[in-house]
Amino acid sequence: MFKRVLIANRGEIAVRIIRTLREMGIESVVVYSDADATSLHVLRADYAYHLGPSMPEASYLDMERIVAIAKESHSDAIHPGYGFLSENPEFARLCEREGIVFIGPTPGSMQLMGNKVEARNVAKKVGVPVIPGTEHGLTDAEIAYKEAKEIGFPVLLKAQMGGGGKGMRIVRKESEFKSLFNLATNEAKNAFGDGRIYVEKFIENPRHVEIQILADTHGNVIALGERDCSVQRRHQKVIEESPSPFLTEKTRKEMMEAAVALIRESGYTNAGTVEFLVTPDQNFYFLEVNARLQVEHPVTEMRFNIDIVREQILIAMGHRLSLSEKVEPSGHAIEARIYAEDPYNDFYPSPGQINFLLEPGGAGIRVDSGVYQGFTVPVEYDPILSKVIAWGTTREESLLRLKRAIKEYVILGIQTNLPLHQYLLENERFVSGDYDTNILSDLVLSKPKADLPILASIFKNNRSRFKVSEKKPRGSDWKRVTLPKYIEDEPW
Amino acid sequence: MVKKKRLTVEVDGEFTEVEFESDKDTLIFHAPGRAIAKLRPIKQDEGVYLGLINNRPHLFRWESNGTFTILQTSEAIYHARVHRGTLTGEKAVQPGGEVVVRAPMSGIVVKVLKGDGEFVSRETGVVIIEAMKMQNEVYAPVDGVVDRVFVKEGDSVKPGMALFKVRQRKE
Repeated sequence: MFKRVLIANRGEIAVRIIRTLREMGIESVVVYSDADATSLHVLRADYAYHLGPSMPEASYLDMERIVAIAKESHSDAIHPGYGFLSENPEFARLCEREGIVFIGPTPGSMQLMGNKVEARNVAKKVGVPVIPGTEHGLTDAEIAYKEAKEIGFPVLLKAQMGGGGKGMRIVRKESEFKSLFNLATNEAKNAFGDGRIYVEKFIENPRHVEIQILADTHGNVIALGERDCSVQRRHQKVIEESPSPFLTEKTRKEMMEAAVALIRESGYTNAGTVEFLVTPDQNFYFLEVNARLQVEHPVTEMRFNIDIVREQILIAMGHRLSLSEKVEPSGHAIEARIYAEDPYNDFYPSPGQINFLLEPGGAGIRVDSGVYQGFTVPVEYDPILSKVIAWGTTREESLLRLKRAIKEYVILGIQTNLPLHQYLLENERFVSGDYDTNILSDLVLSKPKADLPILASIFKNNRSRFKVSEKKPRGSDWKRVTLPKYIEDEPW
Repeated sequence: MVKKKRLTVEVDGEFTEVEFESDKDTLIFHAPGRAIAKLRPIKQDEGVYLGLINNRPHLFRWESNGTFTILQTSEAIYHARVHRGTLTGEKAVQPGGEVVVRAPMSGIVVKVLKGDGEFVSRETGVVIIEAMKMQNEVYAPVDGVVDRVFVKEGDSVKPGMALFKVRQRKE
């Protein structure tokens, strides 16, 4: 059994990992940057070591420093969380060399899954459908055009060195292909220093569904159901749920089998997620393997009543999977990611101090938070504040609970995407379960108009602030008088 | 008799006329709609208050950035300012009725654009007031006829003083 584990991460995931460590009787060691000196993960840990300045490169991405702290603190293992160094084979190798167990896949597995072409080859080998596309990035428009015709239009042009939605272009008409291809090549050269472009079949109105897997070092692999992550804004996940309201039982079974076969063939171990795109007619295509613990893992945990981090640690210690293959899920789980973003201003990040915080609770609600009242959310990192996960016996029950929890959630001092969740949980498409990755594509949230409660709040007790406006009250300003809505609607 | 205060509140660039009176920790709103509000500090140093508006609870937070009061509710963040005086608005007019338009601020009348009996349409300028080297056009809030202009060039005006009366054209 590990005595001490260092968490090479921050925020809500570091807090969450500390919880499992504590339950397992393992001491937690955390690291913090300047901006995180009083972060929640520091307050909760058994030991905390200073990393360095706030910029990620100088702190949470500093491999040597982290490993040095692991040795200084006599940690047996490192859990990398998600993001940062979690899928960095060099880091995993460094840990190995220094005699520290890396809680995750082997460097070789990480490398394999990180190479999209190699990963696709494994998928093809075990008969898992992949999105038709070119095997290599291309630079010649003629050759690319021939490939595109074979694949069949519409096609997607993807920069080989791009990622996260950057450098992608859809080509619908054959006649447009060559010019768009040349445009894409130039863009890629400028943005990524590499002008090679993949050509891939473009799937219209897809759903993004992923399978959670666990694999030990004794050849046991299990699939723990799916998560539907189609609710995305600019390729960033907002809400995830399990089971997928779209998949048929047949498709689910086939996808789980495909995921297990792929993982088995590749020799991958520890926790991982196999991502697929699913078409409106239940055809699925392999996308990639995320060789790490994912943000939305609690959705699976709530349904299967398991602790994935615990399983990761046991696997890293060489144990066999403690779960039988027959483990059955129950109920429905939905997660809402809470971000420090301004939903009325193109989701611009909104760092700053949280002056007032009330977190939701009650039956079926789990909150994985990385913040507390008084904490100043830093600008240097991903703006995720917390996750709210609702479980219910049915999808309807979990929806009602999540809606209730979002209403309970109060965060003042910074702007958050709570209004976006309020919108989604009332949105017909989402509530019906009939949605795909385009659900948020045209979304523009409008700020609710100021009404009496807001006007009232301007007056502190008896004293109002009087200020004659320096602004010239031009005719046009005075025109914009809107009668508050409630005058028509509500009798006072 | 308790004196009612009349203010113009600007929130995110939109103006609303507010009339209220205050009594200890209670604000009684007469306009825009009748409401009783009690505000209690929860975390005074952070500007966090609980408001009971007609017995409905609301959480607010405000802070000042010098020019604006920045206001946050559970819905959104707003930028607000309070102006002395009232503005002209349609709500003061009944169809076929008359509205008296008052000075929104102190100043000097520098020009009278329309005379008694002249037809005006909504947002036609009637009087120009200069204050602090800035000129402000005060306009007719409705289509109708200028019944009477009460001021002339050179007159000094204070907030709330009647400037002119417009009789609304019957529909």
